[in-house]
Amino acid sequence: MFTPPSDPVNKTSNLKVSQLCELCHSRKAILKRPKNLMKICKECFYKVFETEIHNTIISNKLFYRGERVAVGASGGKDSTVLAYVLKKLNEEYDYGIDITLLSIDEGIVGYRDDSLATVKRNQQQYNLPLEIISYRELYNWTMDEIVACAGVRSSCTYCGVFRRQALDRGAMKLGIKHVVTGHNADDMAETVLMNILRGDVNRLEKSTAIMTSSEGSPVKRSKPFKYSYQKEIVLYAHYKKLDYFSTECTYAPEAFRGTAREYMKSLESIRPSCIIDIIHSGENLILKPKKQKKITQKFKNVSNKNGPSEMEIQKNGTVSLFKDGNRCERCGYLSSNKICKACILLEGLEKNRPKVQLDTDTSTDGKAKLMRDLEKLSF
Amino acid sequence: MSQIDIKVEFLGGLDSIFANKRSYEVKVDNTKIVTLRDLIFDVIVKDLLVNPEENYSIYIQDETIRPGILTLINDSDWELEDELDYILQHKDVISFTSTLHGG
Amino acid sequence: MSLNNENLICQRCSEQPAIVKTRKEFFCNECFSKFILLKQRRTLISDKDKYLEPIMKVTYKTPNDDKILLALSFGKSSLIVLQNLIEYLNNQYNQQKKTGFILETLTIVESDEEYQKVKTIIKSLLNLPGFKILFTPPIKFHIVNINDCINNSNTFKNFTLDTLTSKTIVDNIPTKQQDLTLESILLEAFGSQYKTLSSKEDFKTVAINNVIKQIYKKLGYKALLYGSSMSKLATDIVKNVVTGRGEIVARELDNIFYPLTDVFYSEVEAYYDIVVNNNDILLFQNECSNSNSIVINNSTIKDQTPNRKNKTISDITMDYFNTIEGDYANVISTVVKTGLKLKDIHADETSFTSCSICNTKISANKNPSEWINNITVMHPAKIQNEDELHNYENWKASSTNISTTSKGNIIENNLCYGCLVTLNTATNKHIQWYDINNDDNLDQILNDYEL
Repeated sequence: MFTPPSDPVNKTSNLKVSQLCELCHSRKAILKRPKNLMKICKECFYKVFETEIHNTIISNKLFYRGERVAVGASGGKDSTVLAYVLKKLNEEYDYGIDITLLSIDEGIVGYRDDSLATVKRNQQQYNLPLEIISYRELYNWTMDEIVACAGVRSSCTYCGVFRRQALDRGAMKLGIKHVVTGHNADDMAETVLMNILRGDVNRLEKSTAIMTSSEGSPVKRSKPFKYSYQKEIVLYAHYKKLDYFSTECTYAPEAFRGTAREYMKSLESIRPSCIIDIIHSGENLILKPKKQKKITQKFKNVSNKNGPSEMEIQKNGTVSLFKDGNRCERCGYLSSNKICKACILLEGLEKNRPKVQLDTDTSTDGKAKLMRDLEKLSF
Repeated sequence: MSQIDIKVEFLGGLDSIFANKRSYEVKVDNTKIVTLRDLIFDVIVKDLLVNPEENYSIYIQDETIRPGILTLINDSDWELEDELDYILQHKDVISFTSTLHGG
Repeated sequence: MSLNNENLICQRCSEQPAIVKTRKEFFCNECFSKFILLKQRRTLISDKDKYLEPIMKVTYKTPNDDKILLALSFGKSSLIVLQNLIEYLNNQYNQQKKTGFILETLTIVESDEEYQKVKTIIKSLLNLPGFKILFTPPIKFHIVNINDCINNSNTFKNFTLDTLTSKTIVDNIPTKQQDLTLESILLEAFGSQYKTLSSKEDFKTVAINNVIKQIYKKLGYKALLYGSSMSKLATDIVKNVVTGRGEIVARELDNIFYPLTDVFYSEVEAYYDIVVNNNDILLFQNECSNSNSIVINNSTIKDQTPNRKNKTISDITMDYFNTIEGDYANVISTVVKTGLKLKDIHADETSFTSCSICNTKISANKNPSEWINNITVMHPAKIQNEDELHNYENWKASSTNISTTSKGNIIENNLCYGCLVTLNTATNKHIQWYDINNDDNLDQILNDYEL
């Protein structure tokens, strides 16, 4: 069930000039844009919010006429607004694209069930086709089982790798070669910051790219919300009374990620433009030419020969920078390494499977909760 | 009239620290609860917030609403309405929306 | 912390009692100061252009009168660098009866009182054991009142940001009525609200760096040294990134020498307190708040920093470093290492202009105003009814004061992204600024304080 936010009954009459929208000068300003501190009204907000996304799409040539596009739909606010706005813009500006909602069922009881229900309502509300693909059918593991096996701490690593592949595989299954995601300016800025804080220079230059593809995959990804503030996305959903799901994933985000986000929110309270400022900085950070080190060369050779054992797994799940276009020996999925990252993780999981089944035999649901309780106890 | 009605809403996942209830109708004595600050610190935090020891910092930071939570007064960004110093009116709708919860 | 220091022995010499714990190691007094001096020395001689390496050697061969400028704020970090350089020069002079370089320092002050205070400090400083100058020519200490530099400008301009176009309306102020101060300029532009504290800090940093770089260029120095510790560098790098000034990170790191690149602020403090141990020569106390003492059995409790309202971007950034999960030291050094790998994006450019406020290069093909305009829509939604039309007419009637470009003002594109954004936070989107390229009377302003 979806309960929309209440409509206010108190309306200001006799508006003072200073209360008016700084764009149309005819309606009451209701928000201050973090990007440029401008006070604008609801109508102008809809207009600029949507048009900016349209401009991003056009100036980056994200779509071509007749293209089939999958919206990575989680039921959360970003992807819900994305689905809504994309459908609206497609009709208004006649992009001629064919939109499908693509959801991943990670198998997290109590979290994903509810959010999938939201996506199903979105499917009805926006009249868009929906495809759900589950970890269970792709990997024969649910996230609940993975967490029970590998612990809460590494859950985001697994989920990241699996979800990225799952979206690509889901899209390929539908014959779609373009997935759009709800990553917004805040996410982008956070990534720039984290790459600096972690010293991940290889990613730094690419962290503000609007279009990406991974591991020689035929599926490209784009982020039409690259310049859209989280705050404005939430406001848009609020004013438009969009039906979104808003509970934190049971397995909580990485601690580090949480803090970087919190740091940005503190900054935003004294310099609201900081999100877009960080993206501006990110677009202007380039690396010095690398000194050719023998070690690097050696490492590369080794890692090509022995593949999996040498590979480093990134926390956010985006993977290896070597581009080969090979296929994974195990699953046949495109991979730059002999065995794809998902299969490496799966191999590790399989070894522990029997133990898990013994441990969690009694409970069929809420393994996440069980694990959390256990973790708490051990402290 | 000293008694006014205020509607308080907790959205975007914030309801999880307010007994999973998104909307509250609050009657307050307008001689004591005058500003939004009064409402937040003398009513919401005291009466509505569940398990304050644990949840206070999710809602409040540095004596104001925690960054990342959007505060709307009758659908207007509170930045345009004097923030904590806003003078409450009968039938106001005050909403708090978390922007930090999963996207 | 109640570590019992009687049981702890220095892990370097295995003899003396440990006084400091840093980088997971226990140090005695002597080994710790050696450790810090060595770190500085290594950083100084490993610069990529290999400029400093020969002249820093005790056994340098050719006579040299290259002038080196140290920005001396009289905080703990820059004082340590000064002490270290004096020791260098003393050693060189001792062995060769000549020095490998000529050291001068520059201190920027904001008032006459500060000017006098710095003079007094320098006098007492030179009598301290670690700062005894045994070489010639002695160090020249320059003290410059930044307000003199501002008033030295022949032209003053009003910069007003036009939000609709993200361009700047510039008009000349023909004659200035009274002497300006940096403080008065910033106060006029930003008011005294806590929310604009960071904007003031931003432009103040810009003004101070401008003066230092102007003097550095005008007087023909060969190298510019800043005393920033690794912690300060990391904070500055992140601060520049989050204020949209990411592009200057690489240039600052490339063009300025930071002898304390590899020394944490906690180590600076410990070294200062143990070796220099004098609080009378400090102009200000805390460069990096919240740093935890690494001195064993040190029971001083740092004041808790005030709440967010009074915090600047630097404060929030330092707080953040302190709360990051895992190893604080690790994050700090990673940030600095990342910064050092960056390349100045303008390095290979031939066509650019310079920001009228901070002098940063602006690429001809990548103007910040255009960048903002490309991602920001300024078209209103249509007026929909009588009430709205009525409001609009009210606005029109009252908006005769909306300044357009009627008075023959110049519309410019000459602000960098960071300055544009900071200007946008000014009360009336407006600031009075001086001609940053005027260095005509700089020599006169440069009040030497020499021994």
